Amino acid sequence: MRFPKKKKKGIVKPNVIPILDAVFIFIFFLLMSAQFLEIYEIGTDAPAVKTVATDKKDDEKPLNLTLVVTKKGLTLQKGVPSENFRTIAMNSDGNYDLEKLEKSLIEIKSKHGHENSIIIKPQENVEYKKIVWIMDAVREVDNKKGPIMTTDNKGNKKETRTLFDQIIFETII
Amino acid sequence: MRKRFGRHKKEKEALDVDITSLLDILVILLVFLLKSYNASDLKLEVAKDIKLPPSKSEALGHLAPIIQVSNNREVWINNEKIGMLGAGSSEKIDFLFDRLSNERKKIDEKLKEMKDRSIANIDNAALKSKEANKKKVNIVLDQSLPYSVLRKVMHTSALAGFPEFKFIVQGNH
Repeated sequence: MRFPKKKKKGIVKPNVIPILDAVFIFIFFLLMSAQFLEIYEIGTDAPAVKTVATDKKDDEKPLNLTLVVTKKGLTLQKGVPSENFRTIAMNSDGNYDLEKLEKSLIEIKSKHGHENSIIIKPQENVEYKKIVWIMDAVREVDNKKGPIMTTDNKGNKKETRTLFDQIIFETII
Repeated sequence: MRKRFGRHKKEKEALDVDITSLLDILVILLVFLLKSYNASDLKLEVAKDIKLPPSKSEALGHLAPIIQVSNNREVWINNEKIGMLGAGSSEKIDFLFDRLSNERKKIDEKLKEMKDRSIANIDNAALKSKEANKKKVNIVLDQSLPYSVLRKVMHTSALAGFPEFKFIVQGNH
């Protein structure tokens, strides 16, 4: 008895043309929106004047944290009128000692958890690049380090990585 | 005889192109483009003589007027060269102030127009985002410039109605 010959099954080929079309469109969209230079921003504000009602007196003294940047080093000041809190000399490489600056800021932040503002007062001849480094150091705790413990004005403890992210430049207007 | 030869001719098969390698390339391109995708609405063409300062910042830029100052102190606004900073010029840069004042007017007029015709929710969302960004200005400065240049730019911008400064930096993470 002869069996009828079985027909060979053909390989099923999926139709990939619509997928390819979609991928091409996607690539065009991505090419249009691609930025090969990683660009980010650092936000600062011009100093603003706020009117405070005289009948609502705050018992707490303002922190008024100020960072004076000169070619010789950094000086942290606080209070009204400003008093020197710490002077940080340049490190052995001739750069600003950002490690020490961060430590000092952590010390202040741990006591004033609700404060976010810092006034930066650079000397005229300080390079823009170095001001950006300083802004990076004052905004956040270094990525390699863990969060810090702070106490807010109600005495509640909380963890945070943010130091003083509201940067104000003095003598703008 | 001719008839017999004709009977043996094979039927033409559809041309089968192997697109596997093409697909491989497309997938690699897709991954590369997805990695360099930036959701920021800021589209920036950095002027030739500007080297951006490196920063740890991860905040994406926003659509706002762009002021650029190159290392030879040429000033650009929205990719158009408008002048050059003199060595001993005053705190207010007049040519920059005039252009920024024009930008201020244009933005305010656009906002007014949008407010007049905003009925749909989608318009309201766009209006809110425009309102939030209306006082912002992007500052792109060469990293070697001194603070005195930055101060003049910030002072002029604030006087022209842009008191929220966004320093454009290059990511280094």
